[in-house]
Amino acid sequence: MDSVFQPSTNIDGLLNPEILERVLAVLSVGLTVTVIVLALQIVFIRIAHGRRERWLATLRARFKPLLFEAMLGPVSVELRGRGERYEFLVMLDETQRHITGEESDNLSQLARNLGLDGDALRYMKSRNLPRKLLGIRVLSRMGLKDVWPRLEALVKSGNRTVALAAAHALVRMDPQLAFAVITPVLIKETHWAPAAVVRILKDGGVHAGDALAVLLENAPASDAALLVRLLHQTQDSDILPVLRDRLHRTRDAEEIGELLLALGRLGTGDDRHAVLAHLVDPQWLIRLKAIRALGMIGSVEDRDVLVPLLTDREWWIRYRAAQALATLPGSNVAYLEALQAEQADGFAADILRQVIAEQAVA
Amino acid sequence: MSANAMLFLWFMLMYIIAHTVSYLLLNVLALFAMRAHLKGRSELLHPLSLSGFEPPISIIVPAYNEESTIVSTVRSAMQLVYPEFEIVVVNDGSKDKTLETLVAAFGMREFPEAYRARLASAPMRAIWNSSKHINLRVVDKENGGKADAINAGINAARYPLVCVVDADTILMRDSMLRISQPFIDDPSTVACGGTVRIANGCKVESGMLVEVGTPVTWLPLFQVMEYLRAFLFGRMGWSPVNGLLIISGAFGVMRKDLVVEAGGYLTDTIGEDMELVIRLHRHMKKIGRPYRITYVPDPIVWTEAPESLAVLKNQRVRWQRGLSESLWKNRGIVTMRNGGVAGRLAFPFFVLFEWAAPLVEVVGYAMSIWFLLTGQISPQIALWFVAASISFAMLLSAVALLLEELAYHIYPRTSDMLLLLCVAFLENFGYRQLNAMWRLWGMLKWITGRPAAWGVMKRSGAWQQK
Repeated sequence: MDSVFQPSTNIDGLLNPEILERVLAVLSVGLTVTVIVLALQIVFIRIAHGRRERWLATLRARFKPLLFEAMLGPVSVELRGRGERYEFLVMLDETQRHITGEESDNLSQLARNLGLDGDALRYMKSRNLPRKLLGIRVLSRMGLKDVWPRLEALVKSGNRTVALAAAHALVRMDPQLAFAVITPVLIKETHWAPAAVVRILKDGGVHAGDALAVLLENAPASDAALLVRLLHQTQDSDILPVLRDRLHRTRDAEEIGELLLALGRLGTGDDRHAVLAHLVDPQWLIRLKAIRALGMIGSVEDRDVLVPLLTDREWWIRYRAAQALATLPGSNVAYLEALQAEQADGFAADILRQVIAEQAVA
Repeated sequence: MSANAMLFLWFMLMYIIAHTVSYLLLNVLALFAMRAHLKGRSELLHPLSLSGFEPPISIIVPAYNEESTIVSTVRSAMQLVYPEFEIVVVNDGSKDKTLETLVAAFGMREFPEAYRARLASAPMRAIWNSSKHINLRVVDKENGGKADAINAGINAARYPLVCVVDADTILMRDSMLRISQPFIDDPSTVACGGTVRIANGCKVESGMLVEVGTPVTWLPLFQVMEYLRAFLFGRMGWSPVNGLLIISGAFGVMRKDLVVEAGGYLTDTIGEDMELVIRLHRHMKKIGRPYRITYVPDPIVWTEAPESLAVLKNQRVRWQRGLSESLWKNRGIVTMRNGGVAGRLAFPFFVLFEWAAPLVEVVGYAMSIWFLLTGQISPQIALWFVAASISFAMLLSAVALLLEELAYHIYPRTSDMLLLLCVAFLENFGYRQLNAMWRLWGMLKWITGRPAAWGVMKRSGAWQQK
């Protein structure tokens, strides 16, 4: 009868020392074996890594002289297995990064003779990024027109690195045709690096300034700021009429800011009035860029409009105004010190003191 | 056998199993995230990927009595491959020759900068500019603590991203490129942390790491294992689910405007780095803007680990106290309607398995010894229990080492890896217990509310001069 009033047998099981001992023993032994297996795996990975390093060193020693010979003319190369073919392509790609013209063409011809164009095509379709990029580069140097549509598709891919590599490949194959393909994409893809885009275009012999200026003329405001940034990178003053025209027409704050900076860098004294008009803009970021532009193309007469900005509530406006005052023609430390002495506003005096000190350091 | 003792051991066992399984799950998340990260890593430094959109970064180096290491740190920062950055060293009223060392090494000159005090900090004495390096400045201020120094650095920073770097760290040349990637790839990124590794045993020349090696003494060796576990899957696991609650104070990048908006670093806590990260989570949730706080698993910076027990003890006491303060001050995140992974999962995880772990561990040791001495458990059970808890700990260490080997292969010598495997075993005998006690002491200090201060962490700097 007593057993009817005993607590649940589950808790009894837990209180049984033998069960706990067994559980602990099984866990200890099981985990220790797992740890030993993991440790062995680490050792095996390391051994495999060492072997691979040695294998790669041997391959490199074998391929290096062959590639040098192949730059000058036909050579006979024997490749055993996929691994060797891949490593040969890697070395070929590395070599071709540093050479152009006939030497590079000779290497591409060698790759075709060895049937490596098929391998490169497979790599280009791969999801492995380094392999994909290798395939793109090698195929574009081979100049195989068949891969053009696939490269076009990659330009539109979401991956910045792949898109840039594909764009570079297209430009390498046919610069003019490539420009038509990549520009609609590049003005939509704000994550593309402007400097890299301009470099790609220049590598292909495209006159980037002219080509981008044509696009800017009719670009909607949403695309224009990026195009102006790209134009900026070209350092081409022939594009000035387009920039002036856009500044006259646009109402987009981001574009206005970029245009003001571009006019500051590339413009002349003729652009002063356009810049001055934006010094009173209610948006402080536009005022900031106008001040920077004025500092680059302004004249001594512009001091009067810059001095009141030394008391602006934004630190950056005060700083850029002081810097602009320092860089205007005819300005020197004596002028800035005199101006500082005149200031009743503490913020204006502080910022001038900083810029005077910067001038001394420069 | 006592029923109470048995129940206690079962509770301890369940806690250890839950702890290990949680970390293994994090490890699985880390594996997937790392696989995706490594796929793109090799092409990161391709010339076409560079330039154009890398946001300018202000590197802030708070320094207090760092005369032995500060020059190396600044030199390593100078050699970063990055389009636009500035270095702002904040001398927080050092009592040694930190400022004089900088002035002599970099030709610093006092400069009347119009300082903007957007975040409150102790009074500023002067700002110094380098006559040799246009992008180096030193903010010299009254002592106010590390958080206060960082706030002063943020005030002086000119760029939209701020990177806080400890004064004793060595950067890699591509550190900034790697850590800025998340900000370029995803504009909603508000903060990003990087992996910190132990530099003891490594060879450093002209402020740059030239050869990786393992420390020659035991204490830093144990810490190498701890860092591997903490960074490789402790943080990498939380990052893909936006549950990262800590970015190491030794190296992290944040959006300056949001840090200022959130109120900057708190000066009344010593866990200011973790506290700010959790506060940023809360701030972003409160204003309802999508955001990412993320982590880059590549080795980004190397730091000197304490080599003496006294210094290590201070560090661990501070860390635990900082953890306690950060969790307590931000406990509201758990009840936020849009708490998400950070509030609903990561925060309770930290409370249960990071904050409470030393308490459970020390109580576990004490009770087990008591039960054994009073005959409430048999020596066999006690032995098996020790064996099981060591096996669980070793499993996590072995997984971390495997992950390290698969992903990075940082330690070139096989002997280094074998040594680390031994360390994973040996740390369970003494080091782990000491650590638990120090951390428990940190908890007690937090409960009793002793005032916060910079840690007394005397650096030898010897390894930097090799």
